[in-house]
Amino acid sequence: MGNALIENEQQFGFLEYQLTNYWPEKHLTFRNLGWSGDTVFGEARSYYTNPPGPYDLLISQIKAAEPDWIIIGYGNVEAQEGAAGLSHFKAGLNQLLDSVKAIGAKAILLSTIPQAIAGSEELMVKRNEELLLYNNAIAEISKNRDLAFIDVFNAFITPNQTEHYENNGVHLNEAGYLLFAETIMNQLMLTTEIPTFEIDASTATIESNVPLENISMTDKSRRISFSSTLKATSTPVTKSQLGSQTITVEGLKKGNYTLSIGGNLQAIGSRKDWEEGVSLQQSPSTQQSEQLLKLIREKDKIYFHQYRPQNRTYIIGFRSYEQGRHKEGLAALDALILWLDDQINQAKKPQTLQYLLERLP
Amino acid sequence: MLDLNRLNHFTEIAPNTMILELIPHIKCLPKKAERHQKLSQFFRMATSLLLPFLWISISVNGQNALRDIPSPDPQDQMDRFQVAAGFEVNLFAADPMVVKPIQMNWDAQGRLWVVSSTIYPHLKPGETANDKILVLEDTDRDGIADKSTVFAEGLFTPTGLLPGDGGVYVANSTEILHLKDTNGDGKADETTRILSGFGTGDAHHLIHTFRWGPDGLMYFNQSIYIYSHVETPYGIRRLEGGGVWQYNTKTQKLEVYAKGLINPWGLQFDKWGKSFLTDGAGREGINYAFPGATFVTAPGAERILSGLNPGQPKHSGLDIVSGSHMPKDWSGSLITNDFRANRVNRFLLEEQGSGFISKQVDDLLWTDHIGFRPVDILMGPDGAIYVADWYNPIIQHGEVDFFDSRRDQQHGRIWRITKKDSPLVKYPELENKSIPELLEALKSEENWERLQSKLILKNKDELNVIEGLKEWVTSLDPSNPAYEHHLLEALWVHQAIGSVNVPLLKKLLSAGNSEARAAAVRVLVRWKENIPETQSLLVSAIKDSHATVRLEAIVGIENFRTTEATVAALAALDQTMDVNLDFALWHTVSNLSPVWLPEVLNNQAYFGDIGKTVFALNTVSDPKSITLLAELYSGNKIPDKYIELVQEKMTKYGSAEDLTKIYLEVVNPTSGNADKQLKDLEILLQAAKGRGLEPQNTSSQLRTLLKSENEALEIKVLQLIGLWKKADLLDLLLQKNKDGNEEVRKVTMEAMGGLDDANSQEVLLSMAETHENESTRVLAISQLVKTAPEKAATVAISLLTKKPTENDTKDIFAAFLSSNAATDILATALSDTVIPTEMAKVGRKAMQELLPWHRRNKEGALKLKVALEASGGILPPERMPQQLDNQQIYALAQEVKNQADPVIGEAIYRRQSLMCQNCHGIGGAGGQLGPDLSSLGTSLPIDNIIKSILEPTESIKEGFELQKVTKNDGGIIMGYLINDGAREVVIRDMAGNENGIPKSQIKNLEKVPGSLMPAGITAGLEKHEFIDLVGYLSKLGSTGSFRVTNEKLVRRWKAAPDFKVLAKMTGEDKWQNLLNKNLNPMLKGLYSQVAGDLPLGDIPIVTDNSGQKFSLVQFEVDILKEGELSLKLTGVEQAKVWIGNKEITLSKGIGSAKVSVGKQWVNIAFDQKKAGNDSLKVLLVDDKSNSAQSQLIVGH
Repeated sequence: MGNALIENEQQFGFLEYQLTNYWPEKHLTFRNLGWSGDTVFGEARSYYTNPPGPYDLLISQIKAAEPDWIIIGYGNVEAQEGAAGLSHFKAGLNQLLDSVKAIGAKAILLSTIPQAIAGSEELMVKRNEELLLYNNAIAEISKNRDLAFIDVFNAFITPNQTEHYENNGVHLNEAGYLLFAETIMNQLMLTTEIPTFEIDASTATIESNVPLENISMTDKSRRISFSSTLKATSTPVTKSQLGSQTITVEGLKKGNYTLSIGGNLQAIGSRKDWEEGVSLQQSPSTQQSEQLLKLIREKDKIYFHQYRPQNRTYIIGFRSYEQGRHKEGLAALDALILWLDDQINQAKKPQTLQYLLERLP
Repeated sequence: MLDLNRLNHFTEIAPNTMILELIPHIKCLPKKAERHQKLSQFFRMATSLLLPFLWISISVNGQNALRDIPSPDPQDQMDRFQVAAGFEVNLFAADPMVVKPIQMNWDAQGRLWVVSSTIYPHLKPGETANDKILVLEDTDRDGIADKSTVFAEGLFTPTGLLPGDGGVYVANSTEILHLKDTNGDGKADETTRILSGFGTGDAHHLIHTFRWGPDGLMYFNQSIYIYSHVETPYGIRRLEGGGVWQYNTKTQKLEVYAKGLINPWGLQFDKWGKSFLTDGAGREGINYAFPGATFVTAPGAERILSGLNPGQPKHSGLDIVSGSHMPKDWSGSLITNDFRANRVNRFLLEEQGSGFISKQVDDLLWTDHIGFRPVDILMGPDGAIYVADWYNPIIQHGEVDFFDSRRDQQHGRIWRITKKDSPLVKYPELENKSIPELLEALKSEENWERLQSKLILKNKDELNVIEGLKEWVTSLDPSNPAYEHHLLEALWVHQAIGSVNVPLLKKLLSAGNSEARAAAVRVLVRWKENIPETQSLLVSAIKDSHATVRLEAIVGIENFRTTEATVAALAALDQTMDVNLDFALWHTVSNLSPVWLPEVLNNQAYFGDIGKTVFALNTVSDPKSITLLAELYSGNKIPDKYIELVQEKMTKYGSAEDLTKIYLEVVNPTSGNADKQLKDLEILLQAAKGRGLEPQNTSSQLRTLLKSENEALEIKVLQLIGLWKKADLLDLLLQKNKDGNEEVRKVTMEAMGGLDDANSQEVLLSMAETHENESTRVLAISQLVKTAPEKAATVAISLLTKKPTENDTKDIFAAFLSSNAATDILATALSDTVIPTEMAKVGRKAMQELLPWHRRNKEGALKLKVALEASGGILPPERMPQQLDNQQIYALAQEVKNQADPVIGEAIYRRQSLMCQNCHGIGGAGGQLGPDLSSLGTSLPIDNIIKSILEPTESIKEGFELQKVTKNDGGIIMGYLINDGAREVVIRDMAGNENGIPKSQIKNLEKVPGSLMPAGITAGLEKHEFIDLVGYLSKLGSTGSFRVTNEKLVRRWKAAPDFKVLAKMTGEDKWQNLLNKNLNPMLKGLYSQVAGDLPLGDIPIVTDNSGQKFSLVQFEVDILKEGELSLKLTGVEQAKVWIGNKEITLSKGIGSAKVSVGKQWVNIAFDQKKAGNDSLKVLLVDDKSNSAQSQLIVGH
């Protein structure tokens, strides 16, 4: 729940991807209640029809999602009011947190993110100072209420800051949302490492940051095999990450070796290549990740159509006497969304894969 | 009957569409955690159910798939086009090359980009949108497109597009994308999201109408139901409701340019950068917009501007004629589409003050083919006019079901209109031109060429362009009449590339041409951060000799939050003001109030001019400023022209202390102005009624005031006694009740009702029980209803058993029907009593006439109905059945088509008893409570017309949503929202009056479903009459005598119902002596028939005091520019006509007079016996002889 920082996340789905995978055994569902330009007062949810007022709409949308946890990302829009608006913001955030509590959900508060472009250098400095001011307020309120606070601001203070942003310097791009998700997972101490396998053929040992089983080595390391159960999250999800999963093998005899994963040929390399480490591009687990992300994005898109429907005026607004029958059509999207939820939770099940390194004859 | 298109559609998207049919199963799904397990099973099962469900869906929809859909063959459309003399039309492109065009724009290569949506108006559940951007090319330049490319697909209801900056900007629901083709294969392969956060409340209001301004900025519109919240590098930008956005694609700066309008589907700039808007759901034709201009429906707007053509059709698209291919005298005229009536209209503009006068002239194109829906219009690179034809028999967005199978989703056309025997413009091949050549193209008289050159220059190397500009400007010939326009084009190029050029700007700020100066002021304001002396340059511009320059300067100086800026802005009052200037100055001064108000409160003479002080104070509602105004007002220091404004302000915002000042001036007048004394009393009255306020220490002086001989004053004082609850003055009320005339008696009784103390109630009760005069008894009962309804009910019933007159009976019922509680009490009292049948019948009729729809089903009303029926109050059964199912409506629609006589239908429509004209206008004339019906027949299918008569709440047009205002005191006002301002809400009530309610008194404002149009209004008609009525309505807008033409025919009339008023007004006994008298509007309102005739049978015949019979009708005309006004009168001979107090002579029905600016009444007196015809028709002649510019006043 929040402003465009949250709304835009649905284009990528990385945060949901990371979170849902962290507990592959649990059936988890996520709803993105972000809304461009929104504030703790739900201002961007204003509409021609009133009631419900914007804030009431926000609360009803939270209720409808039946949340156990809410990640709240507000403050970037409010901070434009500067120091003068701070107490108003605090009151609003407290009110919102009271409402969230009353609904029975637990809140996790996010800080704002910095602004990377702002028309002029002067305005940008001012904006970022104001953002920090509001971050402090969010941190303070979290502390008072004993809620988790995640400060993502500093993660975006990097030398090449704009590489994480869309052209406008306000919204994050794909790389930005990846960093956003990773930062949140790190701070929640829910980090999953990308698996590494360091094999020593001479001693028949494998070092890895993931559990292994059925390790076997035959014919003087002509053939090494082992199985590993990987979470989908532990595989790269973007082009830039691809290649970060590597396997190194030391102590091989001279020759060329192939690696198959789950019976499919994955890589071929000389002894030297394997010593230096071979990076895995497409693997069964990256395919699983891609599929999962696709499902998450599809689900978010459909939910967006339900949550901010076109023709709202005629379907659920005050002209629903004209087209109100299409309310059923909107409700019907529930079926698709729930079905996709199911698919997502199926698709995230860890796969046990057999790795097989074989010397070419 | 099966609709095959639907079938195809369903089979294509079957897996998702089935969901719609499975809803009942989903509803009983378990909640949350268990849900996901069951779902997998459910989906496996669902696949096997698909076919049977599909079948049901189709057969249900099949009933809807009927009626006369015209042939979609373009040739058929072509054959039915009528084109203005000297022009011809050809088909540029049609489906499948172009499908469902929504907006179009040209690129610099002369390709026509079209945005197309086949899922509009609504995505089916689970369907995936695949809307497209199409590029049409006429490679051999023969005027017919020969190539169509799909540039992009997979879009979601795209509603606007604009080629530029190496790609195309596209409106894609909540976002604007920039799509680029980087590898030259003609298809987009790179997508950048430019802006997001636009509202989605209505698919036909989504951001639209993308245009480049001559300044190289991008402009686009949104409509009433769209609420947008866009995060930009400069901060959040919000626009709620309709308006125009302005976006700088270079700096990413987004601003709101103008606000309001209902569905502003047209936007265009003239050669000097002035902008104009049209509204697809408005009613004022062309709207002139400048920065900050605010129009109808803008939420929070304190003041709004009107369009230039009140009562004109609704329009989509807009362009301004230019170039060598078109007739010389067409240049600068505005072309826009009346998509409801299947026409292309043209308007001529004439500059006046800081704005324009707009006049509609003959149509460019028209047809009776209802599939022709022109939605966009543009001049093309060859100098021809291109019209995008959305092609659809159905245009109602909300009123007709989204998935109604009559909605066309596969056709579309682009038509091209050329002038016969006029050479086309040679295509300039801009894309290959060098910078100097492109600059030279800025001299072109073709708007298209200048704009496209600028857009190319915008993306060239900045330094080279600046260098080129320098040389080009130096080479320009100052003696060329277009010199300053060329300079302005150069300035705009500077603005487009983002390079500030102060010397060039200053040169234009002192140009000889006022348009150039005004345009330069606007550029100056855009550059204010870079030009330190901006404020002082604006200060000089506010003193400019031309109003249009002053307007831009007043708007611009608002950016400087200084007292100097305020003083400078107010200097505008030293010269002639007009509507736009007043609007802009009001806003600027209001917004600067934090700066100047403390100064003025500290020193009344701060502005050194009482007029300026009062103007400024009027722009704010701060209690201290109101008190200062009250002080100036009660001290008689307000200049005449502001008196009414200040009086209104006092009424709405004056505190009890402020009102005391006014009260003291009433009781001890220093001005001796009796008229003002009355006005002041009226302020006190309204403040007491609306806000329950009373001045301090009133009472004793009221006795003195009552001694006055002035009846009007006496009445107001009596009313105040009641409102202020002065129980100690009951004796006075009784005295006046005895002595006074009928009106005074009524007022005293109302005042007694208001006193609400035991004494006065007792007096009222005894009057109700025993007064000798029956009407006095009724009045007393009406008062008692408010304070002691039970007692009132007992007395009322006893009076009813004595059979009072029908009018008195109706008044009794009216009193009890005024509130739910009273209705309930009367019903209870009546439930065990029988009253005479006639009285019970009157009661039932009164219920039908007076009870608003939202109270008809309340318990009290139902109970009263039962009680009255028990006394025999049964109404005759309805003749025209009002409860019809879809089948019956369809059958009825067929009868309308085959049997209806629209001429008889028009007479039925005009019947007083049906009250159609009270709420609906035709050609703008008539009531304003419902939509204007001028082109109803060409925009709504017959079955929908029938439905909306039988069930009015089922379909309501934008702008006619019923509003419920709950006041702090619990009072409720229902009506239409005219304006929801920052400080007050203006509501048009059921009587058609506009009421301004200060926001401080409003607890809640909400839109509620429902219509002010009562259901069952046609129950009294015979079926054949109903058929004729619908037949008439369904003809409205089509060619012939049921079309509102562009002629200036008088449509709204007033008539003298009897001689009494005329005699009182003029003191004359004979009608001949009325000539040359200034007559106030008469009481009776009349409207012409669609063709413009006013039937003589509708005009009362009046007998003067000497027994002579005559008729007198009047109409009102607003003179916008003085000169000769000519009119042509047909139908009656020997009529006497006078304008104001000046008689004009008629020759063959034609006469003229010199008129000055302002509203005037034109009077026509005649003897019906000598009439040559059975109707009267008056036309304002718009030709060379008519040098005055005028506008007929329409409305109610």
